[in-house]
Amino acid sequence: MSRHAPIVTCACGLLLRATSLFVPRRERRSWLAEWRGELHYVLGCNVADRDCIAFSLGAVPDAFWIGRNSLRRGWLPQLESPAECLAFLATLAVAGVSLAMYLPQVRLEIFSAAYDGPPEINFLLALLVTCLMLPAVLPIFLRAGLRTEWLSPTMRTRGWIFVGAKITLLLPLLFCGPVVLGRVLAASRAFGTVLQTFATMGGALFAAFWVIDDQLQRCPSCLRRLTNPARVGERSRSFLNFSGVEYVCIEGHGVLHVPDFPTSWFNEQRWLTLDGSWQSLFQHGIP
Amino acid sequence: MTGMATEAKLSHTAALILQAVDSGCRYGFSIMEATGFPSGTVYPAMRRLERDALIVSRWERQSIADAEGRPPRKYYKVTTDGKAILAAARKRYPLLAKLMPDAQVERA
Repeated sequence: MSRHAPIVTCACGLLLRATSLFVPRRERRSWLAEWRGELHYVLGCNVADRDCIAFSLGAVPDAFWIGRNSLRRGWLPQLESPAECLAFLATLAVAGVSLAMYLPQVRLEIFSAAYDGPPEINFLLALLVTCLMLPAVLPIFLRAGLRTEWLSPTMRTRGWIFVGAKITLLLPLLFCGPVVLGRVLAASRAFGTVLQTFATMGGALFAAFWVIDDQLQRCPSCLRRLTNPARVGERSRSFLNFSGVEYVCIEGHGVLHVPDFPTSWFNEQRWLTLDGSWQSLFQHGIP
Repeated sequence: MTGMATEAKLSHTAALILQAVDSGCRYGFSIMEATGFPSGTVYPAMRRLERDALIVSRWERQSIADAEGRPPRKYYKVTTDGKAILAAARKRYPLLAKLMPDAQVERA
């Protein structure tokens, strides 16, 4: 190695240490040990300094991959049941409102509404504009999720009540978040109001997408998240065969078929209710 | 599981890495040397293969590494499902075995 070897070694070590912050805490130690071990061998192979650094830079996508997948694994189980989902949203709402109340300028903004022109008007206007925009910007696959004719009236009512509860719990967050952004981050009041309006619209769009997408991934009967996605068929052979993904309800209520793309004979997702004869398969859970 | 696993498709990169592990490259750096892929490709691909239970990893015993005066290594091995998938991948990518001749592989 070159005379810069100690500097390169130190730089690579620091890079690995900094990158490890993206890895979840429970996996960080093992991840760092593996990369340090590998780096030891790279340094021992008399490779060029830039190759050592290039090797260490490879840790960045690796750490991001682990971080992203751990997040996915960590979030979804907590929101599996409708109660867990609503509890999570309620916690977020309480945290958002508490933060808004904790900041003096935001508190003043909300409670001085009678004097200054209420922020609620901005909020309601932004929500109204978002609702008008929604049909135009909603992705096709989410739009299909809004069609509920194929569900029984009980399932439909239960689903809409759950959607309503999610929206209700998201509203305080949608109100307080943009007010905090507008009053704390913006330099002037006018800019703060504009920022607040656009943040409300963006947040409301994101919330709408999430609410519908989350609903699509739930069993219409028990409202638990559907699991065990299984790919069926091939896109190139969809002439008379189903091509898409099948999800199953862990309680054994049914199977959801989601086509990859709409065909004339299978243009939207279908729910197949499983009767009691299938229950023995679900007694001990599914792997 | 094995029957279902053989139907799954691997990308060429993942298949080459799986082939390298099966050929005897047991740790990340040796897979990089054998395949020519950069570390930013090899390690995330190995995480995916491990998540899909196509390979398993185990840490080398600390005493062995201490005796040789080096840090312990994490070794990878192809699982039964991984072998089934690899067999299907070899049919799909006939040049896979030729791209990874045994001579290149360090039998660690």
